[in-house]
Amino acid sequence: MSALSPTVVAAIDDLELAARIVVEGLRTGGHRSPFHGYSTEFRQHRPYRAGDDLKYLDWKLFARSDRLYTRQFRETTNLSVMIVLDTSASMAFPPEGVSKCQYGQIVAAALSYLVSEQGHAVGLMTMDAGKLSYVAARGGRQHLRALLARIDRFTPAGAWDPARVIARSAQLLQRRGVVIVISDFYDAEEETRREMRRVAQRGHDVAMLQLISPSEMELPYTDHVELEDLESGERRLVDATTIAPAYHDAIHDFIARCRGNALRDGVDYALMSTATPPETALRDYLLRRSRGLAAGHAPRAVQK
Amino acid sequence: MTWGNAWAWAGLVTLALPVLIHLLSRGHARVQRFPTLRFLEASRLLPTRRTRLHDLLLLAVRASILAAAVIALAQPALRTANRSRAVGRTLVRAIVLDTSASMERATTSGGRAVDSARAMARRIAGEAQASMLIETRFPPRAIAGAVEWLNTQTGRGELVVVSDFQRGTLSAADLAIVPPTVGVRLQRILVREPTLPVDLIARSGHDDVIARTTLTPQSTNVEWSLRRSAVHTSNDQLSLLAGPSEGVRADASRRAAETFAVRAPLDSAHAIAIVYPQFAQRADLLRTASVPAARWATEIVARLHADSILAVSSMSAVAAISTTGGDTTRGLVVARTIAGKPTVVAMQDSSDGAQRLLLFSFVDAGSLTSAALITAVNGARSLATPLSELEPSTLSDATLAALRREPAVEAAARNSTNRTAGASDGRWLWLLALLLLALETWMRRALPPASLSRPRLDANERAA
Repeated sequence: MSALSPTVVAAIDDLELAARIVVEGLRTGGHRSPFHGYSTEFRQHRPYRAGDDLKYLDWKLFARSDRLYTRQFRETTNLSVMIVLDTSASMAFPPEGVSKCQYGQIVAAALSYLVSEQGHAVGLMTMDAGKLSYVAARGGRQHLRALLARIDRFTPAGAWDPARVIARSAQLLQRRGVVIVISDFYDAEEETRREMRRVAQRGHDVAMLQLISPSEMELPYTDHVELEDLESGERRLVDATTIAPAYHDAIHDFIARCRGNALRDGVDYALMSTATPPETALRDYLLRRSRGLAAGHAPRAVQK
Repeated sequence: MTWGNAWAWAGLVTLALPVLIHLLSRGHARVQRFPTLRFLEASRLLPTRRTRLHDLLLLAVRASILAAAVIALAQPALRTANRSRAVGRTLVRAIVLDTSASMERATTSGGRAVDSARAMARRIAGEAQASMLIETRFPPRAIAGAVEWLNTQTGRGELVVVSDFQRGTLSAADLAIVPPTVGVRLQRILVREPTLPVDLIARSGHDDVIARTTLTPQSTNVEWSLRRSAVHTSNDQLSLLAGPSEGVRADASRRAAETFAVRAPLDSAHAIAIVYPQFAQRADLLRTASVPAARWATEIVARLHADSILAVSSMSAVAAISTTGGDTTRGLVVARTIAGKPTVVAMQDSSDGAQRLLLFSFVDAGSLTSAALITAVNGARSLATPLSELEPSTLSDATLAALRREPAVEAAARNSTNRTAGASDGRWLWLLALLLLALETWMRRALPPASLSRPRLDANERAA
């Protein structure tokens, strides 16, 4: 199955259908779930071996049988995933073609679909007209539909407070879960980083999906152009030809800084271009995440 | 390369227009919505680069369109070999041939200068499409007529003067009436410098004063001598026809006139008579005489007309009799009073089978005007070479080169009926301007911005 272009996927009105198409594309790899839940359901006992964590010793069994057994648990489906979606005005770029917001909606919907299909709970946190907008993390088909409908309804406008949204989403997770932030990360860079680090330190699995369009990377103008900030409305007259080299350096520095900070803070990072088919971008990201899990880097799944 | 409309070059000032447009259009920079301005360097804001031109290629094309149009309006004509031949075929020449006395001198190759001049005039005339030859002893006087004739012709006009260019023959002032589009060619006939002395004889009554003159361009040597002449100035073909009461006064006038020396020899082949008012047959002569037609007669009338002493004395004279005594309208008025009444009228009749010039005087026989008339007639009958014709020096080659000029091609193009000979090459420039206009339109609409032609970074590849 070849990857559909972002334009084609974005043209599908039904976000659930679009999400399903993207996820179907992901499944062709046949990889295992990249999200790992907590092991709460008891599976079996096995004899204690030196080095096993003493907290998993079944003391009651030891009292009855005078033998040391270690408890083992089966993986369950009650992982909670919180998707944080940036709907600020800067996400409305580029005006032609697939905007970052549309792309983010598709990615969010696909992730929600994927997580829900695997039996996990998924929720949404964003900011709408200056107020937090929240959908609690739950599983089930109906919840997924309601969630997708909510994602579909958003239009990019105004500014947002990423630190507050991320902090709130982490608070609302019942227990340690996964927080996926989909944004261009232009706003409040330092505060956002600090908050993601704090959430990660609290044991959550934090992922940072940075969306960017090729037009932003290239500054596709010549001569004199008056640029208007989508969020603040501020205008600045510039000679695009002259400033282009400095602009390229600045935005590449920014992206490199975001990635470097994420690595240092233990945050999972992926850069997604709106020119790349969403399923390709997601597959690349999830494969990388799975490899990271196999290598024992990123997962914060714990044994009880 | 020649230009049909050099004033069109003033249109080059329009080149400032595209430059101004490119400088000012910056004020209408398009607005583009952009996610964030945080990566734009503040130091690169536009106001610091206000004088910088943008889109230099587009500016160059626009300026080229205007330049091509301006040059096309200037009507350039590239002078190719074919065109030069075509224009040459339209050459029209008016040739003025100097036949003055100095042209009687020998050329450096032997023979008379005037003969060489005629041969050269024929050759020059043969090179032109049309030509006209004027032989004259006073070339400056013939120039006006030659120019008039050239103006009636189509093609490149050229005035040719063939002469020895003795000093005084021609000057820049004489050529001032030649239009700038008409070419001037001055063809010199080389003559030998006079080495033998010339005898200049001044006759007064029976006395001849002989001045043996040796002329060189550097100096003039004169030896004077006096001799008794066998011929008396009055004992010749000039007769005074006066009434009985006028005889004494007429004779007194003759004697007064003889005090003026006349350069010998005098014309003794043609009869001249001055008819005074009281002469008995005057009325008959007036009735029967006719307009002077003989060449010698008209020449003498012309010399009398140009005589300054006669002209001045006539002005202050009082007409003795009315001009109603005969029909003077058939005669040539030689001199007038200041009121405009004729004092001397020239006519011609035949006496004993020979032509005679009759000069009817309308003033008293003993008046100053009468004496001036006799003096003027004696002077006009002189066959001696005018002193000016003895001038040995000639105009320098540099002087002639300064007066010389080529006939204008564009004038030929305007006059010529053969349009291909002088057609402007402007049409090719108009074509070029149209092509450039199409290029400019294409550049404005279709040319992708330079930044889009750069390879894009693949964000995912970078991320990977």
